[in-house]
Amino acid sequence: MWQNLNHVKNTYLMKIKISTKPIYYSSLILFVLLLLGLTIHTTIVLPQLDHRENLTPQIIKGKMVWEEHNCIGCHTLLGEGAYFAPELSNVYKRRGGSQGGIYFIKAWLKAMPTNIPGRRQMPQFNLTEDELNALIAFLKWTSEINTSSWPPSEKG
Amino acid sequence: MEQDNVFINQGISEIPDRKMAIIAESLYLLNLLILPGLAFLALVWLFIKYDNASTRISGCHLRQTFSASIWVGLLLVLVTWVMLSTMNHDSPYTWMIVISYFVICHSVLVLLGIMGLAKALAGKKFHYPIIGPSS
Amino acid sequence: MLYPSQAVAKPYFIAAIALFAVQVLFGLIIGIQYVMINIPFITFATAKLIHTNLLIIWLLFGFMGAAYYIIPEESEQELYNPKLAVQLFWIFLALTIITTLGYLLLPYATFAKITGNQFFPTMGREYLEQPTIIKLGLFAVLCGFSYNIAMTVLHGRKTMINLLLLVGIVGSTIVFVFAFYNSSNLVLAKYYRWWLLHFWLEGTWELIMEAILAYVIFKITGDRAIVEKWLYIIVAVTLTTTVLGIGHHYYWIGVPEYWQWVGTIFSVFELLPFFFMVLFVFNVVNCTKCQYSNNAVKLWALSTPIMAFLGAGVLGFLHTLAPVNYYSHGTQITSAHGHLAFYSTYVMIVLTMISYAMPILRDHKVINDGIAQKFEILAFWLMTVAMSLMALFIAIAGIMQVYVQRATDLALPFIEIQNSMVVMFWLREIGGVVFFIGVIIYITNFFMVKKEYGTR
Repeated sequence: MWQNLNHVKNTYLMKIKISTKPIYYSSLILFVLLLLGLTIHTTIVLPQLDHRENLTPQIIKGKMVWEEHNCIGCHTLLGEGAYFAPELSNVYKRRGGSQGGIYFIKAWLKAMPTNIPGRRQMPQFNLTEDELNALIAFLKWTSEINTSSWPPSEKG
Repeated sequence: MEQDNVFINQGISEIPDRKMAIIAESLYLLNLLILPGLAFLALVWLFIKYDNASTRISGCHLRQTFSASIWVGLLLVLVTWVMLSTMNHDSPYTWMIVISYFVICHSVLVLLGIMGLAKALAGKKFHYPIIGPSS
Repeated sequence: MLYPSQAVAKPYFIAAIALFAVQVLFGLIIGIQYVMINIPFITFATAKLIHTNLLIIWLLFGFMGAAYYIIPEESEQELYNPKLAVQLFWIFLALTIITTLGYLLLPYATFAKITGNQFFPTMGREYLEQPTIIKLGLFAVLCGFSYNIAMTVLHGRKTMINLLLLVGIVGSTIVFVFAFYNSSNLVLAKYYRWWLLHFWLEGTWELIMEAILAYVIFKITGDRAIVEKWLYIIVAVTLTTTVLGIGHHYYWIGVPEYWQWVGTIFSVFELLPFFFMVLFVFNVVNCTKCQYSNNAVKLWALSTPIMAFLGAGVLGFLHTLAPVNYYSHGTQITSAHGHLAFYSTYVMIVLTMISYAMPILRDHKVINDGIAQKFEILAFWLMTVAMSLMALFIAIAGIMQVYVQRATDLALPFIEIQNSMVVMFWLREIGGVVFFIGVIIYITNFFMVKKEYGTR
């Protein structure tokens, strides 16, 4: 039986003389088209997930403040960044949300560094009141993005 | 994947001996990677049905992969199950140990399988260190 | 050296190795800061910035050196414009030094202001922290590099290896355009940032790595046909899996949930190129007529795919399934994968290429078992074992972190969560020190060559 199988396979193979190039190229093109298609679809439905109707100039400024001070150098935002300091996409909620989230974050930023010995230190960035408000607005908006219930815990 | 004979020299696919060795090694890997259990059963069937005592490379690889697959079952399934049954699930240390053990063990076994497959492709014999019989 | 213009590779390799050493040094700094020892004068953010940015830069120097060496030989003609290659080297080096000094000496916000980031903001995103004008400079360097390589290949012999290198290089240049897109909508900004990072690190850079590996293996075996057969499979699975594999960066950033399915399925198969690369090199080892006079190159070339399989393949797979990633996203697990994957795939391939090409560029014979080679092989083992252990320690820390931070309701404060991992962080730092010693020994090996030959 083995001999028969072998014979069948050999002639079959030789008949088809599988050139995988067409299969490879067509799947590659298919995947590229799929990527583009999914990107377009994502772009279309994204407003329902990111609540961009809430994207005010203040929040846009807040994103600039976030970037200009390299917060990502120690923190993660939506899981991306450095793991030295806490995840901040949900810090607004974690620190009180509408019941004081803004005040906590502002006070925290103004109080840095803690100078507690042996503890990781956060620099003082000397942000203006405007910048602080903008940054916190940005963090609040970020916490409201629909991220499929990520992070799994309040700690981020 | 591993069984894509198209890129192997036409000559190899005409040699049942080498082909059997390649299939045996491939089943070992498939059992580890994507078809646990099913590929193992296929390998067992081959081991029983074909001349697994032969001195040719088909016999060698059949014996080696059969033995290695048994070890795979012991090391990856039995030991893991024992660890999980006896250790406290509420301790993070349990998970640190079990996950590290499993990943390292599995990776090493896969690498050994790749070495075996390479030998089979080259028409040579292979011996799985520790987990394969001595011949 | 068949073509004198290949010599332009040498400064690139030297710069690569020097920046490598500096990069690792900064790694040691942040490793110490992790275990709660504050280093004066430098914040974690700054040191980490230099650690990650220098990594990308020195690997680019390495790829450029590799390309300038390989392309003339494969194309069977001199490099199109060797002068341009040298000029680009100095420009690239200057950009690197300016950027690094800027990071080190200025508060980041100041650096952003004086480089005019407010007019065209692209800074402050992970791996893309460079000022916009520096990014433009880097893009210009990449364009010049692509141009030089393209003209050489297009006017010469076209082999699979040099065409693949060309695609990798030109592809990297084109994809770099995404560095300049920074939407004020965080979700969109993140979405397209990955088009650069994913299609570089799991796309065009992988193609470059595969081309270099194929070239070195070809030099070892002398059998172009078999190398090309394997290369075809490897490249095919790389490209088909990477396109939609990008989905594994889209699980939790606010895009639709179908990405969790697309990403999981395709990125599982992203393991395949590494699987085939290991099979490829093992297959090569078994060829009886292969003989190569440089044992160090053989060690580097055969180990790179194995390590890449473990670092990029296994550790990548470990956290790529969306249900797993839900818990491990943005933890030490990510760091473990990142460190071992970068080392095993890209660092090792550049060092493999240097191991092969440097003796030729410096015009000396390789003495097997000579003192220089002994140093190089010792360095190989120190670095490879150290990095493997570092990745293991960080991964174990990550398992602990997932447990205490995410998978349970312990609700521990951040500091306590970090403290739970402190033993692993210390072990990681020790690993880092051993790794750094390996780098120093590696650098020393180049000076040992003079010893073997006496003064030249």
